[in-house]
Amino acid sequence: MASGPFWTDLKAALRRRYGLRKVLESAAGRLIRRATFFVAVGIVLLIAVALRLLNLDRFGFNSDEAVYAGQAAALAGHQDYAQLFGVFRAHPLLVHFIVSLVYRITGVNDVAPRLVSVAFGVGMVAVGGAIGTVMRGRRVGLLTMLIIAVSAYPVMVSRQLLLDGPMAFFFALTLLFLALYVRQPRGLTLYAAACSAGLAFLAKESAILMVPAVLAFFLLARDVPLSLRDFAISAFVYLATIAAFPVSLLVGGGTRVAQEFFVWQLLRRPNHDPTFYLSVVPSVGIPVVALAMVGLVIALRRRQGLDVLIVCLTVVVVAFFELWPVKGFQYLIPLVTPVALLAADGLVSITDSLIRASKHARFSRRLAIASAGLALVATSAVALGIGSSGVIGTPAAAIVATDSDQTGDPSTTPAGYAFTAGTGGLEASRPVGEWIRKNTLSDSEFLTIGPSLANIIQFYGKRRALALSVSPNPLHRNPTYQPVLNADLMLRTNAVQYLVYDSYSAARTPFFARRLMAFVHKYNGILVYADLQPVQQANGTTSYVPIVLIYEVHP
Amino acid sequence: MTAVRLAAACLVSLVLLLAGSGVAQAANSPAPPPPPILYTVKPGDTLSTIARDQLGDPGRWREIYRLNRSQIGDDPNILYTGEILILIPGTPRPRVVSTLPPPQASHSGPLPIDTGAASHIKHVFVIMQENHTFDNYFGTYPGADGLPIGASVPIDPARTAGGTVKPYHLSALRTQDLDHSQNSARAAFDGGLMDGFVVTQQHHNLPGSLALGYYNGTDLPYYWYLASNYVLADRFFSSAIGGSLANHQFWVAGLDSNQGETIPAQGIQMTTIFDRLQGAGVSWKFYVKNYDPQLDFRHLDPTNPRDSEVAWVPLLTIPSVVDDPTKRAHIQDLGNLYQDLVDGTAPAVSYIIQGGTSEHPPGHVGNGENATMGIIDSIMRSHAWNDSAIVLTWDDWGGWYDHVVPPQVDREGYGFRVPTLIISPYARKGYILHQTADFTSILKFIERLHGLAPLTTRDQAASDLMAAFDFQQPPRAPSRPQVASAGVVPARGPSAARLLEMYGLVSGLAVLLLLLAGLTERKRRARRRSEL
Repeated sequence: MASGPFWTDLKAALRRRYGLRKVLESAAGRLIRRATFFVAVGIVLLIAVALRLLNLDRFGFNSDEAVYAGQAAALAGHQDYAQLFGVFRAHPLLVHFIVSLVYRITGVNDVAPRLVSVAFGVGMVAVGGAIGTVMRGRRVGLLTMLIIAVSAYPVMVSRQLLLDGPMAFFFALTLLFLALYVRQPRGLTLYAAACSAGLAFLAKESAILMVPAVLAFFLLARDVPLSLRDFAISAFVYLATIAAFPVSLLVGGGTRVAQEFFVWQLLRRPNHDPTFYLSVVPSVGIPVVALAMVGLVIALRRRQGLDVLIVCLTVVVVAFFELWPVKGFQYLIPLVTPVALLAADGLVSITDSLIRASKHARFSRRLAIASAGLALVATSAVALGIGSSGVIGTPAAAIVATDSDQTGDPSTTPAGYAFTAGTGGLEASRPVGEWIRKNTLSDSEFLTIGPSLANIIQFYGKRRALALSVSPNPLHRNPTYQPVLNADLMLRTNAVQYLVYDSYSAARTPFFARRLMAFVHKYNGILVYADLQPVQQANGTTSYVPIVLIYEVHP
Repeated sequence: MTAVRLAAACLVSLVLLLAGSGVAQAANSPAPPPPPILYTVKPGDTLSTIARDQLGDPGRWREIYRLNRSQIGDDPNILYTGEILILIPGTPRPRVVSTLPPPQASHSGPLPIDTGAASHIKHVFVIMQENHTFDNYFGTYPGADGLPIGASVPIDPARTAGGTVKPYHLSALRTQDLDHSQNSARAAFDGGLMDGFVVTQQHHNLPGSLALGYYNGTDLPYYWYLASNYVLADRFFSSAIGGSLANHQFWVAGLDSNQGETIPAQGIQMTTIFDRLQGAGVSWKFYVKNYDPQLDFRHLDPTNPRDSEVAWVPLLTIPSVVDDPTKRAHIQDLGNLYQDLVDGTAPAVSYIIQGGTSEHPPGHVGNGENATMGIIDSIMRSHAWNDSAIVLTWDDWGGWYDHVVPPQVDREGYGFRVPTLIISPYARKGYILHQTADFTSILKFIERLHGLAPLTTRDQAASDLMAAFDFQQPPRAPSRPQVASAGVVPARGPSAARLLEMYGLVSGLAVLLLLLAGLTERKRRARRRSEL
């Protein structure tokens, strides 16, 4: 009887002069249920924010973060950074552009950009919940939000200034608009989905994977209507959005570098073995992945609307990144929303089955809810418990893998390795930058082993730094890095005044580490800065390992 | 008739008299000294084979090397085809000795401290390079007393129609070593006529025209940069009209040993500025690049490529220093300077010698400049910069031409002008110091800073370089030229402005579209609820 909107029911009740109490009870019930839902949403979002903000500024930037922040500072008009960081590196610049707007307000620092990532991360939580609600109702929506909020993998990625987090947000936004389109096909919704997919590309070019997934979806999901007009307009919107990247290169003079970058990407050697992405599973949460498998089976059997899209997206993304030789820990982040949806769907399906199977409906419902809650707590505890140090931990291999500039596998994990390859940043980066700013002349030049520390020195130290290991062959290097053709000549002519050793790069490229130390000995290197960290030995003693060493050299 | 005969007789007598005096004069004139026996290097020659073929004993290669050390360089194995070596030296020309008295020990009391300088300058670094004149390095520097327009030197002053050589720009940064002995210097000086630069080199079978070569700012960009940002002295003379040893002795002691370029077996006892500093409790060190502590006046070894350090570090010829471990410990390798700068323990007075990168021909002047830049750069990067004064100078003329006649203040000098730069946070920017000075002015500067007594009449009378400083100005931050990174491929990229425009436009439109889609969806849902 009273099942429509409150005011409608009330008018009907007043006209008929009965059932007013039931109308009010029904309305109150709906109000309470809605309030409960929004309170639950608010709590989940608060949890998401809290997990992403906790100790966010504990460590300084890692290499990739330093590059992105440096580029953003250059875009924001800071000339000292513009001289050190070319505005074109390897990727489209939407994220850099957004951070540059923030820098125009806050000035250059290493916290504000991470807050931008956090905002995108929390946004992904909200959008994931919206998708689940649209697809399967509020329970699935809420569970999807909870999974994305507490799963270690998206938490870790969204705490760092990486391009993948914002890309995953726009990925999720595209899914949301497609979900809305599936529920009620409207042209404007489809155009918005195309625009979101374009923004995902402008965040990171690997979002192009959305295109084959969506096309496959529309081909396979015959129940989802698509007119030629809407398709054409959507395609136009998508292309117009992503055109910002090539057009900006064309008018700004970066096409040559873009070509070199494309060739370099094609020729990069594998940096991890094929089983590398299994390391992501524990970070997502083994129970979550298991539930997602259940949800996948259900989706495949159901084959409704967006189920097909999620399956297509999952297959395309996993297949591509598995085949692509260069692997990164954060590359699978676009799958978090689909996986969370599947996991939530799977969990709700299990609880519904339990309810149906149980003779005591009321008891079973409570049992189901309790089971769901316990499962999720266990999931988050397992995921968050993995790791070595810091509040939010991560597998050691994953730490290393977030440095996209490194291409070699270390043969062993060296002492001090973890201190220079840390979750949420590097412990050594701020102190070394501060020392450099205070103790060296503004036009000093540094030579490092690899580009990782060079990027950090340039961002935190505001000094030019070059890397020995950058290949002189343009086919084998990131084209925005400057190779050092003759380091000996640079040292002899006093063009470089400092040599920098770091344990992380030394482990990855022992050859160039030896070369750097040979220059230290040849040119009267004097140790002027040493970051040493205590390391517990197997026999119980404590020794100090060098993390970053700076030598002043004299020809 | 008688008068005619008488006149004729007088005329004949006069003629005979004149002829006789001419004969007598010719008879009394000393015979020219026998010239040296020379040899021109041929392809495949080594010192051993030359000694074997020319002198009959391959073991006499050491003699040949010793006679030609300044030309061959540190490695006796490197000979160039066409090089002219002296196998047997000729008898030296009689030494032209000035009639002026030599510098004497000073009996003056301590000089008054220049309080302005003393309160601002706590570290003095004196870098001594080798063998170039002012005109050779800065002859074309704008505003300086450089090469005059139309300057030239006769090829042979004795022959008026012998032609002249004009100054010309050198194309090579590495040249043959010219003779720069005291005799050659005096011959070039020629009593103030300054016309013997070419002929004296030719007398040594060396290319005389080389002496008129000069470098400019493109060859020596760092030194010219220092000149334009700090102080260049264009009336700074070497102290002695001679070579390295005498001038280095003036540099530390205010006089020379009157032994020419010879180090006697018993050493040379003299009082130096370091004795004054030691007595006053002022810290000092003598830094030597690639220092060999085995070498001193008792342990000379011509085959040791570092043998020259004994001449360039006069302390190593002084028995009271060589035999005193505490004093000798002040002579250290140049590497210690960098450590001292980093540690903040650089002494109050530092003398610095660079050895192989001293720019002494045939050394590469660019290498020397780079090495000097490294030293000055290290000082600038250290905390010592804020209260330092760096004097960069060259020890002697090296055989090169300079047009300014050096005043003769005593028996030994002055010698020809040498380039001198004064670098300090308090040095006047781009200033050319026209005040007459020499190496003893450096001694005077140190003495005025610490209230020390002069060593000799030379430094007592010398100027003190204070005119190069302005202690009223705030201390200047160190400045160094942007060194082109020679070994780097420059990065390229698009302009930021275009990027900002494109991304801003797209982002703005995208946000509008998304908001529009979201709002219309919300309205549609609200309408649907109301229809239900």
